[in-house]
Amino acid sequence: MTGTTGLVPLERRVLSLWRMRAGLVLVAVAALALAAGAGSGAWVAGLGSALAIGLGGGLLVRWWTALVWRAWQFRIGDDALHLRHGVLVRRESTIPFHRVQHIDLEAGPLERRLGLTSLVLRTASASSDSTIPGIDATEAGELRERILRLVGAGDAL
Amino acid sequence: MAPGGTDLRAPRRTSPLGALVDVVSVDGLRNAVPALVVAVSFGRVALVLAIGLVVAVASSVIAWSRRLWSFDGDVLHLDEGVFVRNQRRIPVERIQHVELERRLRHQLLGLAAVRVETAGGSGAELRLDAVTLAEAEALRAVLLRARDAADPAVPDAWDVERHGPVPPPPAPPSEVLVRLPPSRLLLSGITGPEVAAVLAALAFGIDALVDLGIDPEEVAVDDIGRSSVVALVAVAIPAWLAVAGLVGLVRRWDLTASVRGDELRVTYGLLQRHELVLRTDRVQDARVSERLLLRPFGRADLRVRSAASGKGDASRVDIPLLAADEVDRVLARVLPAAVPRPVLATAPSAARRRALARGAVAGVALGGAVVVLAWATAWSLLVLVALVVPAGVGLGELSYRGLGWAEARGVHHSRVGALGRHTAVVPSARVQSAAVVASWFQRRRGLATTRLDLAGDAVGVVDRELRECRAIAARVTTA
Repeated sequence: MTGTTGLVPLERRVLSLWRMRAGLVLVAVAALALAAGAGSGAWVAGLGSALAIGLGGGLLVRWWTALVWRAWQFRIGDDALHLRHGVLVRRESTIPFHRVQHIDLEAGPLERRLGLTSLVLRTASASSDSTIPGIDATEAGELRERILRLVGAGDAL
Repeated sequence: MAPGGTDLRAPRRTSPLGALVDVVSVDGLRNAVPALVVAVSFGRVALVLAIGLVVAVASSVIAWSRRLWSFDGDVLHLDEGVFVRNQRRIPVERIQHVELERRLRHQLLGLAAVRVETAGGSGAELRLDAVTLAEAEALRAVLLRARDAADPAVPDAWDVERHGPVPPPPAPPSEVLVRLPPSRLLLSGITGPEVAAVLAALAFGIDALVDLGIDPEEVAVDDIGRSSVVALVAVAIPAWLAVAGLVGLVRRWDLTASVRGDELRVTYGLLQRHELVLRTDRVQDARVSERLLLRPFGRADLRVRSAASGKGDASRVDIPLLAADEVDRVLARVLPAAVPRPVLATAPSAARRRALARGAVAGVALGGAVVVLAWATAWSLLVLVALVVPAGVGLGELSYRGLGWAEARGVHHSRVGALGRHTAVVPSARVQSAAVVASWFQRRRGLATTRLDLAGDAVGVVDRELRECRAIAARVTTA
């Protein structure tokens, strides 16, 4: 089926997006640790644990997001979208265009800053795995038009 | 140009009046309740109310200013969102249903709300809360015409709306497929959920006795004697089963499955009569469940699921305790290509090794937990190793034997289950998308699972070779 030809990776910028999101969580947790330490008078312990959480968590996030990014590939075929992703659990999904009900482009504030967007193909099934999380915002429009033309007529159920 | 001179091609906003009115709508007022509680508790009602009103109006106006919609003749566009921006595109052929809704606030202002739905999913895929009535009607008319042009054969609810009620065709004769005899209904009560329900009711009753100051244990042991306890149990268990059986009998009284034209109809019930109707041309999949308690009797429960086509249509019907030939008889009418049901191919031997390892690990983990928690002695440790671990391995073997898959005439039959066996019957034509999923443990043994995504639910073809899984996914996703 998919083969490995024509599979493309996500934009590298999506790594920054994932790391920024995780970074926000880490900063919040580190701040909590610092506050807890300060509250109980143990300034040094609080600072130490905040630094440990920040540095250790940062390294872990950096390593894991790189793995996730390397595992992510997709291909827009003639009649279906093919996705491959997952580090521990590998997934290869096929979403035929003749099953697509509607298409969403979704971008939060961070994604917009990075010029990224998520392309979501919705089918009649809620369990379909059909989101490409990080594609270039300017290319996304073109991709969507291409898929919309391929969606065409036909019984989708 | 659409009728009435309304050109829907240019991106447009919904009515600004609607944005303001939403603030004072029921939902808007409900959102204000927590703010009001805070206001009253701090005694600064006027200030908090003023701030709340400003925030509500501002957020409503900002959300309104970011909501743009249009229809270019083929695709319906909706761009919205303040922080997370969403651009939705719905091809007109995919639209199943368009609804205009005019609540009081809409009627007062000459507005309407539009809901557009596609297949599957939950709720409306596109909602325009307030557009002018002219726009709403133009949109509906244009969507109707564009869709009919794209796919003239689709029958739908709108035809009824536009041309008045269609005279019903002469009713085709009804044919009874299965009618369950009372003996089987009793069995359904004894083996079904009623057993647990009746037990719970009994427990509640005993609890009530205790509350009345009667201790059943005390009465039983001291006044009647130990032998009588045994007698009591000997009476209680058959009585319990009899009640459960009777509940089943009353609930499913005269359970009958019949077909009339393209409708599958299931009726049952003595006190409360149930009638479920399913359109056979919209059946998505079926499931044959041989529950543990039913397997010795050679019976299975059949569940047929459909994409519900309208209000009052069931999305699934259950027909319990069927013999194999009865299952075939129903399947032949709802999924004709599914019968005769093929012999399922067993899973590869790597799947057995995986199942055994998983069973052993589960047994060791359970035993280990007991040892740690209960400070077990050497003897109990021995018992654990001699019983729990082999039991885990045995369950693993059973779950391996439960695995089976076959494809015949474009229909997939996939079985799973260690004690009870559940076979999903899925036509390729109903599969929306597919995914080959392989966990680390599966990859080590060259195995994978193919997930078939259906409208409503997903079905797995579990633990086949990776190559086979990919082939299945490829077949079900080609038109």
